[in-house]
Amino acid sequence: MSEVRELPLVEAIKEAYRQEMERDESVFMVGQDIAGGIFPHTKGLVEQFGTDRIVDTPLAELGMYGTAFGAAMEGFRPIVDFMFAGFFLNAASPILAQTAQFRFIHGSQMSLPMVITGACGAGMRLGNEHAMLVHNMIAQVPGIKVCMPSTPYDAKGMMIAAIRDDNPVAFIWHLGTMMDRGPVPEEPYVVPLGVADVKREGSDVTLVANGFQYKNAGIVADRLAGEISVEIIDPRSFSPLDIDTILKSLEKTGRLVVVDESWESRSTASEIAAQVVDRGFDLLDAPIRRVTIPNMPLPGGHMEPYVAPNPDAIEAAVRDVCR
Amino acid sequence: MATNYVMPKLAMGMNEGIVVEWLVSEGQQVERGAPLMQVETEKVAYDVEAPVAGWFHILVPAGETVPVESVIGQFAASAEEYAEIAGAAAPRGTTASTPAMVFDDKLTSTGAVMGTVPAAAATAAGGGRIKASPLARKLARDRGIDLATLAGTGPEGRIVKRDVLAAEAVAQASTAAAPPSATGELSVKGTVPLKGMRGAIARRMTQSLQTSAQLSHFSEVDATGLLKARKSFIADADAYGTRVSVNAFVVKAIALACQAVPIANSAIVDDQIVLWNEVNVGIAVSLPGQGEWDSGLIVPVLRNAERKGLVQIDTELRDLATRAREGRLVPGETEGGTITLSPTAAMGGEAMYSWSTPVLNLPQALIVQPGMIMPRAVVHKGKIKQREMMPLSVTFDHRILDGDPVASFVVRLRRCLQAPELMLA
Repeated sequence: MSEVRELPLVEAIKEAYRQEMERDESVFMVGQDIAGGIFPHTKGLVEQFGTDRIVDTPLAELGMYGTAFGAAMEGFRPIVDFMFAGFFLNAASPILAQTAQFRFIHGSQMSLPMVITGACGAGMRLGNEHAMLVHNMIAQVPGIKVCMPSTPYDAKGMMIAAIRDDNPVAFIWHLGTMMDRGPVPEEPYVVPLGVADVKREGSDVTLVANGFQYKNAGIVADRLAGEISVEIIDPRSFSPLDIDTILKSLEKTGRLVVVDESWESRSTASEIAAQVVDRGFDLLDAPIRRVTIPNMPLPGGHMEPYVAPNPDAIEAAVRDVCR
Repeated sequence: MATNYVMPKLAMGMNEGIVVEWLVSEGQQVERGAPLMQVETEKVAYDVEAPVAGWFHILVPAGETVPVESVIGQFAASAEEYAEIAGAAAPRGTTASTPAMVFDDKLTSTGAVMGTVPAAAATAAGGGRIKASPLARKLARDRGIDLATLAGTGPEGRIVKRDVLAAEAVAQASTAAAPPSATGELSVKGTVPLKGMRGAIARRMTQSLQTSAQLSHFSEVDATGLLKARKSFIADADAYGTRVSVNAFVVKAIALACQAVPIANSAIVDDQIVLWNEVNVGIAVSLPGQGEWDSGLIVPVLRNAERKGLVQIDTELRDLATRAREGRLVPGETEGGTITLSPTAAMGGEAMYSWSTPVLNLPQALIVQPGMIMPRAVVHKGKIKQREMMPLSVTFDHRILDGDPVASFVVRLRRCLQAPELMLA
């Protein structure tokens, strides 16, 4: 068997789209600029699947979402691409109030198998609306799954899992990981949603991070190697949240730092901290530290790297809990 | 409403202070600005004035080191309020942790400091709450380690996992017979958790050897006369209801030796040596352990040996030992000892003439360990004779006793054992 080839994360996502659209005719895409596009993750799909299945729309989030919403009710499995995830807010009412809670409200009689996707994240100096991560806003609502990949392998497997899931899934990807290369098997495969991954084993401190921050966590673990042994856990999904894997790690380390590229208040970092204190109080040998964006808008210019979580801030938190 | 009085922060960087001396007495009415106490910091000693007027209630005894901002006293607004707070609030730090002696009323009337925790156990008595991580609390709970005996090395003095593990390692190092950490090449036959009784023994033995100045003294006793006297008691065993044991003679002899040399029957309480009137003899009783590989030990106390005769002592000894082995001692029966007798167990049924260095049962000053009586060839009245001899080991706390009083104590003990009729005195 030949070596597994390496692909950039966006190519891994595109391969998931292509393979799932080949496998299942009910899968189609609707979104802004997906026939051409400033991001390469849909490039070339329109040539293969045509404009019936790669439906390019104007800048009208509510309209394109409505298209997908109705199609899902009729048995299709639409993928809605907002390009920048932050603009999901223009369609927040049908997504959060209706789609997410649809199945529950209708007594599990109907489901809406949709994928809502978009890119975001600090690092490109694009300004608050384009950069801000919205995973926690969505994850606060029950009924919709929310995930973000950290590696090309996870990106493909999680996108396929999202498309095949009968629940609505928000699949958010971080701009800072777009061109990250990693091994991606050619055949279709599933990375289950709601399952965290121990990406790096360590014994002194559990560092939870994902997306672009997973890379920062790796930088910090390398810096501290030989001094502090860092275990990195990628939660992969924010909802449902896999606390068991974190608790298991804490049995070994007793110390927890959670990096969440999000505002500090009501973040996944806060949620993990709360659940760990609730279920794993006796495992803690130090206070839990959160590394997040302070409760202020992300600046668009040169201040962005100082406000967003960064290796120095993560290292300081890790050192603090290891005192 | 009483006003709390806290250890003042007298200088930048002052984290704790020693209450060297209270310049007022308990319950005294104090004027604002009157000298209240003398405080010593890392650098300098201060006289501190009362910040308010009132009837003062002392919560921390002189000599203790406490963190700044922790409550060390209270000002009551009236004599009535003083009576109320003095009656209600037990002095801080009185929670009896494992090694604390609990004295009965008779003892307190002798002027002893009531319920004071021995120095070693008080290290964490910096404030009410002990700061420890949840994990450290759980580990300490699982291992039977008292958090109050640990010093925290985490941020702000928090007790963290490493502190508990370090304390456990110290206990293990001092008790484990096996060489440490060779498990890589050895296969484990069994394990004994350092919990419960095992954990308590480990901690107390370690504490004893690490916090006192122990010295042992060895001698021999000619017990030929003692065995003869005992024979007479055995002959009348039916009348007495018990077969008076050698241990009963030893207990009685200890009581008499203590009366002759009172400093042998004492303890260090805070910054002074306290001598007791009563001779309460703790008897070490070996017990089966909690598991296949474990053994146990408990020390019930025979009270007022100085007032009791041999028959009563023996009856009580047997009762205590029996109930100790059956786990039927009632709370209090292992407390209040002033000196300890640690009889040598028959070494697996093998008679053996030997000495050892018994470990002090803190805060007591002395422990006596008679060996097994065996026939030996000795010089007796100018001739080599076979005599019934008993090895005698005594360990004492050199902080309390010097060689001379120990010699006097041992001489008195031997005299009583060699000529048991002296115990009629």
